[in-house]
Amino acid sequence: MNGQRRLLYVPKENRLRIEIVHKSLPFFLDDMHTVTDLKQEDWRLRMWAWYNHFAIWSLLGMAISGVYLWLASRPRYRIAQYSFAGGAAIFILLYAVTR
Amino acid sequence: MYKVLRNTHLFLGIAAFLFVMMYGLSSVQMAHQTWFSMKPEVTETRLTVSPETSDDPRAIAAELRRTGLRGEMSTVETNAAGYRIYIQRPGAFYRIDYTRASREAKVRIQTTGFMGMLNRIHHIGGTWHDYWLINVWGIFVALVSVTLILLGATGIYLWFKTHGERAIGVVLLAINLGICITLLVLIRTA
Repeated sequence: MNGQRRLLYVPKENRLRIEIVHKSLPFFLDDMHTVTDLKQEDWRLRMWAWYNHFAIWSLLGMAISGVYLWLASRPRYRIAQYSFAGGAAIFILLYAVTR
Repeated sequence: MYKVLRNTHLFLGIAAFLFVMMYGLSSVQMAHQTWFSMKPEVTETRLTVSPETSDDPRAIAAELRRTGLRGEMSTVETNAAGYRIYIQRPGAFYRIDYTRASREAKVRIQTTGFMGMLNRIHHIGGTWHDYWLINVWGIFVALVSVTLILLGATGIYLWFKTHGERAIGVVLLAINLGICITLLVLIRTA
């Protein structure tokens, strides 16, 4: 996950050369955000997969509870209504045109 | 300040609602692949490329696009008979086997359902694609990315200003950051 290890056996010298190529931080984080398989051999990755699962459900929970809080507190707030309608319209329109 | 940030949090959050749901639902689909049927619908058709069109894969793809194949040309493989060209957009994937001698293109069309579509939208990024609609998605994806960062920052501020919830918030934030940063460092340095 954090890079590649290349092992090269050099028979003439009877030596094993190990090259460690580290991924840059953005690529590392990009890979980390895809880890969701809970059957990881490495305990750290297994923990991270659980953490990602928690984050996924949290994201959905935050989105739904956010809309609920808006509707429960200030449902008639005009600018909020326009924001919601504008965002939803853009998504639905793009989805329909792409489909 | 509090009122401004509270309204900013509200406007951004509900404007990005469907985009955030798209990320959330597609993440659930990717994390639990057995929960959803992702079997695409497959059809095949044959098209003839006009003699005026050059033998270049881009020109062939451009002509096929005019017949209704919409999407970005992703890969081209050259073989003895001609080319295998892949064109895709969220929800549709075309595999085109073009035969140079007959100028015929056998098109295999895979179309996906709602979750397949969300999965593909989840992976969109950037505005360098040769299909304009993917670039439009790329612009909104970038805006939603910035929105998510602002939502996080304003959310933390709004919580901090709610004095009654500071103690429990600090505990939860500390546990969260502790687990997240510790695991990232352990994996990065493994």
